[in-house]
Amino acid sequence: MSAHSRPRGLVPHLPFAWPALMLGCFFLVPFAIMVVVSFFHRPESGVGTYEVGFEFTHYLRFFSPLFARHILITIEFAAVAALLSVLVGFPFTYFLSRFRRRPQVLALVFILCVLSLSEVIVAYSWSVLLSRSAGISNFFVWLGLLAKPASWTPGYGAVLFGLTYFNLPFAVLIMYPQCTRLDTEITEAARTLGASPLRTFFTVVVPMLWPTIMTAAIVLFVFTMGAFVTPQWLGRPQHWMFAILISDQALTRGNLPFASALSMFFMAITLALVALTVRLGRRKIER
Amino acid sequence: MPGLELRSVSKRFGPLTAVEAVNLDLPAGKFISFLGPSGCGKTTLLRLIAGLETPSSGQVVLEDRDITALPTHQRNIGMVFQSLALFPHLNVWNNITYGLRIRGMPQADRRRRAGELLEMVRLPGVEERDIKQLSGGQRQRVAIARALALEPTLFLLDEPLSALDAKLREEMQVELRMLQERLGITTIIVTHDQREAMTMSDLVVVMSTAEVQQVGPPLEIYRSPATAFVADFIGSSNLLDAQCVDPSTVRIGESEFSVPSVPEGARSGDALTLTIRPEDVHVLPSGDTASNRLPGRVSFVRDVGASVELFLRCGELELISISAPKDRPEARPGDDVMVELPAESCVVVRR
Ligand SMILES: Nc1ncnc2c1ncn2[C@@H]1O[C@H](COP(=O)(O)OP(=O)(O)OP(=O)(O)O)[C@@H](O)[C@H]1O
Ligand SMILES: [Mg+2]
Repeated sequence: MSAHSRPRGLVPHLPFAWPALMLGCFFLVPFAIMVVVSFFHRPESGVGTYEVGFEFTHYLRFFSPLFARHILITIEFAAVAALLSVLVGFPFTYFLSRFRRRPQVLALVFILCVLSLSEVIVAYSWSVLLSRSAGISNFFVWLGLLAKPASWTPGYGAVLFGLTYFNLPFAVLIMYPQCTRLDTEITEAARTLGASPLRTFFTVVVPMLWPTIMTAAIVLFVFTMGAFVTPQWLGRPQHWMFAILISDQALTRGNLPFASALSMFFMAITLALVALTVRLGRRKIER
Repeated sequence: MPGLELRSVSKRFGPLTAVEAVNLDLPAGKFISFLGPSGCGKTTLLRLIAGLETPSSGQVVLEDRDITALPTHQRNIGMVFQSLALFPHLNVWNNITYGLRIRGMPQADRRRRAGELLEMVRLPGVEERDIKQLSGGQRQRVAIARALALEPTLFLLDEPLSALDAKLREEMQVELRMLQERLGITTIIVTHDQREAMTMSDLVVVMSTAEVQQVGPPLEIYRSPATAFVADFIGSSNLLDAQCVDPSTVRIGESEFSVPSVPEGARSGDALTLTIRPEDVHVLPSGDTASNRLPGRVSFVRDVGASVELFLRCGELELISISAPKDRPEARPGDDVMVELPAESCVVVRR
């Protein structure tokens, strides 16, 4: 008998049964139902009803200016928010990982606390803080930085700010493990070779941790694509991201086939963008 | 030529003192070893010189210029780290010329310089390779080339050879020494291997916990250790508790021994340590009584081919004698012998 022979019988395969069952029940089956429903027929009048059928009507409806606009604003928000949170989060995480043990743990505990807040609470708090009547602009007026209180919500900036704020703790937690693993002797070597701390950061730290930065950016991008509460609370209707449109079709208008088709479309776009980003990221490293 | 000077440099980490009031005056162009047991502060001292640690007190002076407050990247120091710390995201030639790129040297010039430097460390033709594609010894050479690329004023190495196997280590020792002689660069190497320090350096700085015990050429340190610690640490040495009798005599147990000298200021009755190298201890047939001799018994003989070691017991004292195979005394374990400690070979230090 060769050493590489595959195990026989049912028992050696049992450990795989559990993840297979979970994936099947909670992912594959619902996904299959959604795919099937997206081709079903929806009668003109009947709200919340659909008939078994096979047609591309729902898929063809994407190609309207309304959906194009919303998919673009969704991608824009997700990309910019992911970029901003990585841009702010990476230097923060790196310098945190260079601190002594105790302040590091304290900061991480604090970040975990922020993480435990729900998106609803975060969005609501910012909608108050950015408002004219009770917001931080009053504080800036008191400081003399502003002439009179301003209303910053609802608006594009408020949505972006809210999304970035919500993403930041995730960015830190994704990048923290690799940051702590960066050997201090490497940056010290750069210092002995004449690089100032700033040059060291850009010529050694960033290139070495580039894969981690890319990972964080992609995860946060996908994560933000599905944002629902923040754009609704802090934005105007033209800032509504795609998840809101899907839920609007499914819950308010009761058009499940179209909601399913939108979800499929949305997923395809997200996957395509992730694949593109990974490709571009890899080319940057090889250079 | 003025070299590197440390003026009562101390470094404390919280309650722990890693380096305590160290004064050193190291001439330029020399090969210097910091030698001491693990945890005695060698790395800390080297990092203080490189500016990677700030002294708690004291000054670092390089070529008559106080550089205590100068940041590392302005010191023009080449350093080889214990982990080598090569940049994993750069290939060999980009690693070597990282410092030149920071200085703005054009790519074509850098490429040529990388070739020269690799030639110098005898590792030509690997410019385009990844760091991961190199063996341990090759990485060593790349790290050395990188540290020397900027023609630094000081070349610092922190136990650079400890990860290599014995044969390669000896080769690299010779090569490093030749390189240093060719470039004439002031070089400081940290090691806890006394053989390495002895064979490579012009000057050895022996450290015990946080303090410098002795500075001198290898032979001087070997021949006349300043303290019992140095005598014990530099090679195997016989250390015998002794008492001062007069400036040329000490007493060990019941017998008196003449010695070349005793430490300055030692008075009759002071506790001292007599040190003598195993190769200076002579073993003679039993019965030849004379001055500076002790009766004893052979407890063990170890023949290692290149030399013969005799373990001797003289009453309370234990001694080791080493001789070349051709001078091998006719002695076997259990034999009674006469042990001679020639006066001119004895070094007396404070206990
Ligand atoms: N950053 C630091 N924080 C606190 N203590 C430190 C720090 N660096 C070194 N020490 C302590 O200072 C002392 C000297 O350390 P150092 O690394 O200089 O020793 P060493 O002689 O190089 O030892 P080895 O031969 O094992 O490398 C040790 O007790 C060490 O624990
Ligand atoms: Mg060390």
